[in-house]
Amino acid sequence: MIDVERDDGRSEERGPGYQSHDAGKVSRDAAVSVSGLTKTFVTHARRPGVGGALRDLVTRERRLVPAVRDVSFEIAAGELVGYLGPNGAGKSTTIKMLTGVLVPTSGAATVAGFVPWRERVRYTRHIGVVFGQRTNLWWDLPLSESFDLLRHVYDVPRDRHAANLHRFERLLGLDEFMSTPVRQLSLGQRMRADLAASLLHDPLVVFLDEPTIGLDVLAKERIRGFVREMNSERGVTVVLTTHDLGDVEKLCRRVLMIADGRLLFDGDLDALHARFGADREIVVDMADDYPEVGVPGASVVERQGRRVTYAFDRHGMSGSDLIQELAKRYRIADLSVRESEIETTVRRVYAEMEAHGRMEVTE
Amino acid sequence: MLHLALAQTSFKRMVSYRAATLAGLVTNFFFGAMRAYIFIALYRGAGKTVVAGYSIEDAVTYTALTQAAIAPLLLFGWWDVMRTIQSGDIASDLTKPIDYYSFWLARDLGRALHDVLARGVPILLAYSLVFDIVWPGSAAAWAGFGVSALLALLISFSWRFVVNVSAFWSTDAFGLGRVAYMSVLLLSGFLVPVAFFPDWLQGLVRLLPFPAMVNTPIELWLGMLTGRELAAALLVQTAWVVGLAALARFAYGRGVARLAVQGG
Amino acid sequence: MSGAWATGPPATGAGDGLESVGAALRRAVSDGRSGAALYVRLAAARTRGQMQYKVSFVLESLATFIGTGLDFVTILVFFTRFDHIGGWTMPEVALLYGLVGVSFALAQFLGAGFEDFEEVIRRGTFDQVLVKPRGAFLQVTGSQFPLRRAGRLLQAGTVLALALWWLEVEWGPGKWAFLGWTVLGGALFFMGLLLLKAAVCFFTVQSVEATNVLTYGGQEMAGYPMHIYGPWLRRAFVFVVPLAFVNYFPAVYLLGKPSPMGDAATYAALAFPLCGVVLLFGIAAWRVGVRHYQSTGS
Repeated sequence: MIDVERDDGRSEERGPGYQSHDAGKVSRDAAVSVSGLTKTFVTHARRPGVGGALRDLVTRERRLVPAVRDVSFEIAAGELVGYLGPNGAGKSTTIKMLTGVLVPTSGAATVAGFVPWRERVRYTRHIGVVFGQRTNLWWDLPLSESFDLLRHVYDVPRDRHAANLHRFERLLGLDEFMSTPVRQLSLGQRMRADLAASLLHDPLVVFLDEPTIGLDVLAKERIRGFVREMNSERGVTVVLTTHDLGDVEKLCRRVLMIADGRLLFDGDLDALHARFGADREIVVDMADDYPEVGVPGASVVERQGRRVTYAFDRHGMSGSDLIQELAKRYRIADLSVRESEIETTVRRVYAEMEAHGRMEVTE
Repeated sequence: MLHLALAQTSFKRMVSYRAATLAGLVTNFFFGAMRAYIFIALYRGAGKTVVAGYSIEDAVTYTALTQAAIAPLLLFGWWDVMRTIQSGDIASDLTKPIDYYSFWLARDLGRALHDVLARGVPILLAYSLVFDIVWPGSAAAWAGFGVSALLALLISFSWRFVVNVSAFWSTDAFGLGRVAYMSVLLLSGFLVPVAFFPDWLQGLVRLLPFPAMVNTPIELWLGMLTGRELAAALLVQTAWVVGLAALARFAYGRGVARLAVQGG
Repeated sequence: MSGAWATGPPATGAGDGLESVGAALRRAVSDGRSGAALYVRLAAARTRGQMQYKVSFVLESLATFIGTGLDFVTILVFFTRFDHIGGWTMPEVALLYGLVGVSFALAQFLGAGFEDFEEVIRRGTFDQVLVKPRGAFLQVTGSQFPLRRAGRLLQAGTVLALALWWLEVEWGPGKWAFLGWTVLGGALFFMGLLLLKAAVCFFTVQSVEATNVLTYGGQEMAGYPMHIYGPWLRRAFVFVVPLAFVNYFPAVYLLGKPSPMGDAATYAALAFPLCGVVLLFGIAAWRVGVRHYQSTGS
């Protein structure tokens, strides 16, 4: 446990997620250790029109875009951590810095003992990366050839590679399409192949960027099962970037949430739900136009004509209780219950932060 | 009107690619200057002032005009329709109630207008600063050139369209297309004026539509065709416009029919 | 569990003098060998991939053969109207053309990944290169092995062979070796230009076309004896971009032609080193580009 002085003078004990903001204090025990990581992009505004274009040739307006601001966290070896946040929050930028693709503006990070951007070639031997939208495989070659090429790229001993491949083939059902060119694979097949490819060389840390995006439910389950097994059986540290709450709930116990470049939350998934509303929403189509649509135990999130969206805390009130309360007061034409998106949770997190000026987390 | 709108959108789209246009300009001018220098060296080295009816100024102007024509006529290749066919996107285009050929023609004309203004004219002006250029001698000559150039553009479009729709039949359409486009560079008179060809080759080449694409308008500009010859040249061009357009539309129709049967 | 931490954190602290130099050299050699081995594998894989489409391959090779042959047909047409170009006869011009053509074709063969690098940047797939434990240079080089370029190589090689036969060349082994060096040097030259083109892609994708002036333009210009160009161009091709050293000066020296641009023997000797400089420049530009990418993203 690390004692941290907070701004208002109170000190609190925190878990390993929080660290003092001295850049450079990176711990060597952790698999991933990030301290004060910052990345600011410089973009040039384009002036419109022909006159603008000419002026652009002479001088350009510089605009600074802070993508990642002073992010710090530590991930111990063998953890399976979810990295969440809305689009444009800085997730991919962080991951790019941790995988050696991008150099930060300031701050420090160590992954598996390496500084990713400084020793890229030696470092990347020990990590696996899966990009959800793109593949690490060779497009026009049969899958088996891709695996073989990767063996040479990563310099994996033949028998180790074969053993791993054999195992993954079974777990992920790859034998059906081992001789198919990668470009002919369906999204689900390609994902499974990419996942296998990322683990063939026994990496210490694996970064998964949206691995279940666009997949059907069965495929998602398969992928999740495989990731879980790799993490629990082999102790591979997994950093999972995702929009899919299902991924998070099924795989991660710990969650890091980033929004607007800042780390907003670092802790248990349960704590997140408990703190920021184990939210569920009910969308009700009223049968009449009611001037007031309030109901005890839930708050009105949105109202459009006869359609009212309520949010309620599932720990405070059950869905059926709420429906009964609604039915007592109003005539209802139709209703549906929906799980809240991670976006909504993040919005609430953010709103809370703005409202209170700081983050309060009870663990 | 739809086609006018299509042309306008196409034009505006091209305007936004400022850097690419500039880069293209520089490239085209440079290559043209190189070719002009080669001609000058050839003439001076041989001590000749006229070769195959071309003076040095004619030859240099020829390179200027061919370079200016690269962008408007897309002489190095155009693959948009082929890509649509090969990717399968054409299926959604076919559901729209519009004549495919004229749809693309309208867009091509918008783009061509942009390229004439943004690539063609600047190249000519740059040339006139560096070299001695020949300009059309009279208003009639300008008019003749204008008509001829427009006809050439139409021929070029139909030809490119034909090359593209070959993708309905062949998966190697890209390779075939490249052979086609490259061959036309020679046969249209882009690389060398057709008049320079040995006589036997000239006879063969003039049977094809390709000189009508490049060589004819330039000869008009240079004042090499007057009176009856001018009229004949324009007639030949017009015939090719009609003929190639018919071929393009016919090929397209057959291709679509085949697609419907084969399923793409 | 795999001996995960066995190769773990690297040793900090400086090595000791001579030992570390030796170790660095050994590592460089083994890196080079493993890099070459990987390249061969990648090239073999690419070849297998392309061989799946035999008809396409033949057609594309034909297309390249014809396309590149057109340049030469242009020269032939010129020679029907002119006896000589700048005092050079057709076989002599064919030699020039053949030399630069083979050099360029070789460079295109090896450097195709760099020539088409624009696409990698447009698609944003360079990240995938950076997360693999191999140098970016090696990966991009190995990303393409375009068999269809054999068409260009064959065409230029044919012209070169014909030129040599026509010229009824009787050189000793020294001059043949020099010819080989010339072709190789030219390949290095164009490889450097292709690297420059790829480096430009890191900064702007729209203006990349302009670099074709150097590669294709250079190749076309070098097909004619360089002294026919105006004084500014000549100076540019000697002092700015050493295109004149790719084939012109070597050819002048080999054929014993009069050399209005400078002492043939000296300049011919400088040819290979200068081409090497262009390659080094290209490599430097490439590395600047990669560093730029790593600090700015895409």
